[in-house]
Amino acid sequence: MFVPNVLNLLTLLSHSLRQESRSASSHRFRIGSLLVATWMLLSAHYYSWFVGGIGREFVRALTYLDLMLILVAGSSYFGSVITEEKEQGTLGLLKLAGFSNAGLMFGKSSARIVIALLIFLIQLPFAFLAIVLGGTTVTQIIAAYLSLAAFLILLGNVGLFLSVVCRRNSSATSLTFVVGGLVLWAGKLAAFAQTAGMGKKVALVRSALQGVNEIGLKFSPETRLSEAMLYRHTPLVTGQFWASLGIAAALFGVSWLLFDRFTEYTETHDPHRARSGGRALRWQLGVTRPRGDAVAWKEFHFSGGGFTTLVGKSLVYAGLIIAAKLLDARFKVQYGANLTEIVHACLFAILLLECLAFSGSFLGSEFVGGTLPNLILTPNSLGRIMASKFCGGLVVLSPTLVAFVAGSLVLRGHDALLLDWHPRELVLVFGFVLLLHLTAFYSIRVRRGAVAWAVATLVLASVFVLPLLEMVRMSLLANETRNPFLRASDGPEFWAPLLYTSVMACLAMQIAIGLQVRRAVGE
Amino acid sequence: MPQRLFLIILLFATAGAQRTSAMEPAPAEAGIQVLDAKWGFDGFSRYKTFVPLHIVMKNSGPAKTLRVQLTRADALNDQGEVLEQEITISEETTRVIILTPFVSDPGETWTLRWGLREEESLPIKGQSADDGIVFIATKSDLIHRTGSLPVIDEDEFPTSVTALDALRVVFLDQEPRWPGARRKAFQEWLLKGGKVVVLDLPDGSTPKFANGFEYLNVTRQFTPYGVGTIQRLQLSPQQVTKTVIEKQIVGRPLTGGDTATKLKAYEATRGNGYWQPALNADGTPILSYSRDAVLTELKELAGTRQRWGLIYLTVFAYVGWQWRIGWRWGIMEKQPGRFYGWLVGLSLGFSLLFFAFGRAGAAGEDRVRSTMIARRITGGLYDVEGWSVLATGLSGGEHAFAVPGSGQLYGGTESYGSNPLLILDGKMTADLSAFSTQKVAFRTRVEMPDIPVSLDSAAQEMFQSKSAKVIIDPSYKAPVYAAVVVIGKQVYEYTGKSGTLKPTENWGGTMHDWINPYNMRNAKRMSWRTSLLAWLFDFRTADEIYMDTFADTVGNAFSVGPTVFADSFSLPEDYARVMLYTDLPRELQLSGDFPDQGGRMLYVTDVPLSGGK
Repeated sequence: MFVPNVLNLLTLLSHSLRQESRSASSHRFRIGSLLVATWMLLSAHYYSWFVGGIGREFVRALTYLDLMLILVAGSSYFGSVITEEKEQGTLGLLKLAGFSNAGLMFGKSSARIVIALLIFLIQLPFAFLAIVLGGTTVTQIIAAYLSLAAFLILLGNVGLFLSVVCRRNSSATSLTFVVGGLVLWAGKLAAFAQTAGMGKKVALVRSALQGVNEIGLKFSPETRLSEAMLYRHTPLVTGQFWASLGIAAALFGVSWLLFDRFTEYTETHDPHRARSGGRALRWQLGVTRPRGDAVAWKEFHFSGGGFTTLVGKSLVYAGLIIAAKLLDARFKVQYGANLTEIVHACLFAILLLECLAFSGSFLGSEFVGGTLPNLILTPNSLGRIMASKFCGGLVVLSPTLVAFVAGSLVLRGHDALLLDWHPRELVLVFGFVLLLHLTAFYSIRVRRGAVAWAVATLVLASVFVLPLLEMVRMSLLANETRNPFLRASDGPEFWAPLLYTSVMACLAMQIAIGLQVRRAVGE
Repeated sequence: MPQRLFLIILLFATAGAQRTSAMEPAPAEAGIQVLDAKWGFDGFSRYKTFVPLHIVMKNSGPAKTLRVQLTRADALNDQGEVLEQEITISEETTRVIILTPFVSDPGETWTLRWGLREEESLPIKGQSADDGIVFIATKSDLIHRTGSLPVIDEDEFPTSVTALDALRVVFLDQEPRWPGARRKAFQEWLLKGGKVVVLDLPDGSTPKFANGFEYLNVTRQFTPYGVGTIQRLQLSPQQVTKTVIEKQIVGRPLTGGDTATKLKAYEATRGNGYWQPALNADGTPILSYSRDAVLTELKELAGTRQRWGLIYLTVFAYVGWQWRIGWRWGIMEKQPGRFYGWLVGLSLGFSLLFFAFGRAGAAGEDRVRSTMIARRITGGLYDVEGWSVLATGLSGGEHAFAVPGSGQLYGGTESYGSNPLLILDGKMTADLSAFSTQKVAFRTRVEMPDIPVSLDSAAQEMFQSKSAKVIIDPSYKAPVYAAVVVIGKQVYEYTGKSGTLKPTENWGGTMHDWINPYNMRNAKRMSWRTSLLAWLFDFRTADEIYMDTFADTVGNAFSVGPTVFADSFSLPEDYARVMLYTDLPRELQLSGDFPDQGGRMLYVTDVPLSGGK
């Protein structure tokens, strides 16, 4: 009886591991992590020229990067372990194949945990090179990686539990991300909450937050990594390790108990469908007839929310700016900060997010909705379609843009943070423009996570490109007969290579987007 | 039901927290309060030197013995150095504690701790100024007679000249009641280039000094004392205003309370990168020197020489295997267990290999490489400022480090990635892992023999005509690697190993002209383009690396802040400052756990021009 049960448990695990060993994406992920580690090693080796104990900083950076990777990528990897079967309608088939609940969960989730652990395990030689760079010990490195492994196993089982409970991938992965984030930062969030409002004034809330703060900090892998890197004689494992493994085992047990309850009728759920308004609703929203430019009309009224959203947003922003101006003096006395400046910064953040969302849905919504081929078949050139969509989107963005400009005018002469602009910030401007291009590109290449892909690509590219640009700048300055350091870093030697690289990169991205549109249509 | 369960859990969890906090006494109940914490002498800190921190503690409970710790957190919130002092405070008394840390950046936050709980700690920040002006008063006079001058209690004056870098001008109108150590520290500071302003007594009469302060009984407006100055000012302390100080004492605007000057300096430096020197408003560089540059070179000398070529070859082999072979094998291998086993095995194997490479490259003794500036105070007595890089080979652990002499001060100079350092009882203990390095700074007061050096001509014209010579007596056997003579604001560079040193091409320019090319070269080397090449192809010998620290060490020899004022590089007209770059003498041998020692000393002596010797 025992042997068949064990075999039942291991069959799916073995199958999943075999699949993963042949998977190109797993391999790319492993290579990617090694290349990043190699680049970080080169940087650390270079900085060891100036900085003592750089090995410790190298391991700290490497493990922190891994921690973020576990949280971001792990949430979607682990959170979809059962829900993907639910969405594809294959969970019943697996049950029919004779897999027990435990075997199914163990086989699917443990395989993913093992694969993810391997990604970090193959980085271990790089971590050992950190000892050569100085400032760290074998014990510290092993302690840091054990802490990471425990967090990974915990998140794997949080993902499994939520994947059993939730019906959809999106819910399970989002909740896994939130829980993972809380494991990392609940202590800090509680400490922050203690500084103001009810958290400061009400004793019960304050002590509750204090409790969360203490527990959160004690069991946070982030705190543990800091400790492990700080003390040479750190213990190999602490409470964080055992608590993570214990909670992970408990979650596995609870998932097992609840498995049937939450997986019985999951495949009868209706798929998500976009709502379309009727005739009356159309008038209510103030939708006009499409006249000269149907694509822009559609972009404005359907993707951007039309006049209702336009007017609503304008009113909200106007109200916000007026309220900020009126309450500014009082707010400054109470909190020592400029409320108008805060509102201004928020408007700026909203504008950036809207731009990002717009570039993601620009072609992405057509790609995901399957309407991209129809759009291309309309009797317009690709350039005209793009321009029309852009115009429609611009109108959608206009309330935030106008509100931001109005906020800037109100703050003019007040030494506001965002208005204290310096040419050096051109790096950020060009970087953001490039990010928008990358997001648009990925939105028609992947079905989910275009922004995440774009951010990852930009970060990796800047790791390689920015030092090269700096070297170009220094080479240009080296030809100066005067002291090159007399020149501020905002001259042509600074912005010209940057502008050239950015323009060329954007042009290349636009060509790539065009090619990708044709490819996506072809598919 | 779930809500109720959540509430019960929340109440259960928070009850413990509430009980714990109720048990902890409030800070006031603990009995110790910090009433004041003041940097330097005028409330301002300074860049890259040792600055005393005066802490006033009050004990409102029973007598206590405390271990007071001052710690610095670096950019990563690491624990860098810890200065520790054990004190006893009697019941219901107030006590002043003076700790003298090395301040790299006055903007950094230090934390004072006198217990383990969070309530028993206090963050301390500083603000910088380069004025160092103070009136020394007795406790009873602290408020009544001083007017707008910054004031310190005479009992808070340091007991060694090594802690007086942050002091430039002292105002006095009566004789301080000091025991020998403070009196000696004050006199040595003045001999070394300090300035004392003697004011009128409240009744308008001239104060009379005795008990070892007789040298302050001056009648002329300016009286030189060593290379320091005693100035007589017929004003009472209340009459000394900011304008008086700027016009009659320092001859330039004060930086401390002058927001406009500071703002101008800030605006001038805005837009510059990390390695670029600060600029004046007109775009010319503010004279600067860099301790960081000296320490970076010393790190090159002290650090282990790993076989990086071999290490990188192995790294690329490992990545290459994973890239090209790993995947194909994963596809072809029918048993995933074997594939994953190999993956794990390879990873562990390469880890051991890299560990072995590190051990092979770091074989050898723990070592220390230093550069020191020995400033002559009087015959056979020196104020020594030094920087060292401590490096460990295979032996990680606690390493003791101590310098000879008296009044020793230690500090860590890493602003990022420092190892834990404990500074206690005149020595420092560094907790270093294997293959690590640590940059440190120190000050000490040492007795050692003078180097017999003279100028063959006292006349300033001889320097201008390039015929003046520096003569080192043959009894001095150690080689002189480089030499510089400063007269007024002019710098004259010499070369030669011993005997008579000869002038070089760098002759007769201002300190600005002389030091600027070195600064530029260093800044260039630190930049990405050149340092990347230097990192790959640095074939300099140890002697060449030491020579690259010479200019910065000379800049440091003037003991001024990073923003160097014009008056800092001028000496009294009748003195020449001779600086010789030579080997470390036996008297400056370091003690502790670093058997392999090496370094250079910049010997600084002020020679009266009229005497010629």
